[in-house]
Amino acid sequence: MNMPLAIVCDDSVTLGLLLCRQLATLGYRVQHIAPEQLGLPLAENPALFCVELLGNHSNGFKLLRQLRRHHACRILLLSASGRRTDIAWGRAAGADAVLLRPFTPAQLARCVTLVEA
Amino acid sequence: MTNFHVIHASHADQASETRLLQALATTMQQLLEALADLLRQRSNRSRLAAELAQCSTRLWQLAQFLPASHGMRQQVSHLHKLLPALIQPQETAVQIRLMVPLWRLQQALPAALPAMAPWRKVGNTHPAALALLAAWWRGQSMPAAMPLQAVARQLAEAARQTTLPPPAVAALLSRWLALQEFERDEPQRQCSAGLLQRVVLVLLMPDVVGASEARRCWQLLWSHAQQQPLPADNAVACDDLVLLQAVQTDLARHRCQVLPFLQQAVAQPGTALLSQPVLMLHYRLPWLLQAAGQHGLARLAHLWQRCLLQHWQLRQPLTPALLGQLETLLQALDMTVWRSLSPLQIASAMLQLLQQWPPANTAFVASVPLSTGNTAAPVPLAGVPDLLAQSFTLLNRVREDWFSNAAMFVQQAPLLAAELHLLEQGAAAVKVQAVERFCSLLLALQHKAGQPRNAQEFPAQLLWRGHCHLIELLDEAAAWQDPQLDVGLVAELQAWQQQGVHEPLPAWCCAGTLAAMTTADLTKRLLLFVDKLAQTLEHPLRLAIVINPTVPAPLLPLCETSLQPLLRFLAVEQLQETTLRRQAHQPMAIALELRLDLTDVGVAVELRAAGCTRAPDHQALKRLRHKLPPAVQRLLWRTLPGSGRSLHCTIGE
Repeated sequence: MNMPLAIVCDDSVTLGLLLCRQLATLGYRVQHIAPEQLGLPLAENPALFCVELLGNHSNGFKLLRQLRRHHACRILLLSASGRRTDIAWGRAAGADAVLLRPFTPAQLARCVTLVEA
Repeated sequence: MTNFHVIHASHADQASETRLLQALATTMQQLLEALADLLRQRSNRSRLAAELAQCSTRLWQLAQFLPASHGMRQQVSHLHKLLPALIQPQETAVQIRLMVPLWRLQQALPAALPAMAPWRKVGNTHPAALALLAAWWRGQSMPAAMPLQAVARQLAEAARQTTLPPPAVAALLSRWLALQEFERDEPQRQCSAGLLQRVVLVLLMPDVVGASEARRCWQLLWSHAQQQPLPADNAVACDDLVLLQAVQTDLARHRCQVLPFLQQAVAQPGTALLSQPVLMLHYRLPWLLQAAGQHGLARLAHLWQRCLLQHWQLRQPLTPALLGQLETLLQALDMTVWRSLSPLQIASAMLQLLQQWPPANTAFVASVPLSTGNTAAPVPLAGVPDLLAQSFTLLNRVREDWFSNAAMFVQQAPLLAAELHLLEQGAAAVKVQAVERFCSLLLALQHKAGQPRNAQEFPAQLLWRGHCHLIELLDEAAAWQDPQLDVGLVAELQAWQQQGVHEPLPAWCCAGTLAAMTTADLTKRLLLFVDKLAQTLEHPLRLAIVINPTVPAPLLPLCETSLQPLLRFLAVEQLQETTLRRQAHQPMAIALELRLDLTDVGVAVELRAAGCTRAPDHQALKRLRHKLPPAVQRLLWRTLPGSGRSLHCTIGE
């Protein structure tokens, strides 16, 4: 059985790697891409997109709107700032869920389950 | 020969074995240094050869004092046999060939050194060598750029910091260099390079990597040194190592990006404001450090993030003291110094940071109206973004067809305008001027587009593009980037908004038709007047008008002539209070509200202006009274309960 694909879009190697590992334990095939790769055509439609909000040179909200225009997948927005503003504006911009750092693997699992539902 | 005499004097005493071993270690060190000098050809070769021979002899003599069964004695004897081959003149030999016997010589040391445990902690501080190693590991081409021997020496020095026998590590690394130099099989070369990266990691961070992984690395390096082929699966597959390499990459990137800011800020103290990328980098830093297991440093980084955020919100440059501390933090991000960082040092750094903390911005409050006319309880500035993000229900749901024609637009316009008003106030409160300015412009534009016009077409595309750009600006502001206005679009919007200001008055404005003026006509004429006034003052100015339809038509021309001086007066008064309004976190745009109602004594006028409560100058009011027609009576000035002021009068026949 093919595992669903999750794409992690984060310009931090470490945070992307950690998230990929956590998603892999939740049964996803994972692919880590840099924000600038989002514009490129994807070989396969992912089931889940995880976008980091505060990239060094990227704007998660803009990426989110861009994704929403081109993909029908679930989008999980991650925020390192821990602000409630990110939740409100992220949801308004089209995120299915917003997860604030720090989060536990259990919280991520709950969030992914909610998003899938 | 000092050591020899000391040892000799205590020869009879078996308890002095430890001192004997110490002397052996010292002599061994001298021997190795002499060998290193020989390899570097720094001094006269024959003199060095003599020195080596002397060292070797001394070593052998010292070893004779040990019991015959002592392992050290056997090892030294073995070394002594090897030495003559090494010190023979070999002027034409390639230097690398000399490293092989050196390696053989040192190879014997791991077995011998445990006996010298109390003295093997030699030279504990070699930060430069470690830094070089770390730099090389980050991908710089040091090995290729430096002579092989110099690299070997640096590695040997770095190895002295480890808990492993330093000469053994140095020998292994020297051997690795030699093998790498002559390795022709590319996959093996790659494996070997990968292995060394991991060894360096083990050297730099033994606590983090873990003992079993370290052992595995050393075993692989050892078998590699024995010319055993390395396994093709990249030697050591360890998740933690992968993670640590990722952390190292991110930290290196962090340092590369923060360093220029720091250098510039130090060069021009007090002028360099914190940039958004630097702030963003510090948002992620605590999580990176936590991933690397550096919880203490992560706490410090978290504190830094909050401190920098405070500066960002207050638009304050970092003080020289803080810049110094930031530089220290940057140095602490070097993995090579993590082992030497004590919890006390981190606590001290946190304390110093807290002492330099900027004044809290929670002291300031902003009054943000929740809808036109109503002002919410003042909220702290820090709470404004939250309030804004949660209050916008329409802005993100706007569709293009809402702007397709005037009829559709008029249905949505009031709710949209309410959110734009809120946004304008909020943006002014938190000083995001690009959003505030654009919002004022959109409000003016939408207000004008909502009015029935004869000459102008409905600007459907312009309104839609303006809205899309507003969302872009908000996305940037929400992610703490500096919102960048689209200058071309702003010019287009302004051009449309100012259309008709210089055109001749339309037919309904001609004197002959004034008698038939309706409330709609009065509204149009007043708006036109305000547009011209805004252009004269070169300042954004808006007027919202509510006219009770029961106001009799014959009074309307009189209202117009009476209201024009009032509007001009209040606009100029507001303009003079710009600084005060900015201090009170109010928008730049002047927003006036006019209300006309019919009363027993005539038309009651209320003209409101938000943002300033100061009463106008008495003389100025007196001059205004002179300019007003005699029909204007009971001119009053009031302070509004929220933040604003109003003019009241009655216009009667």
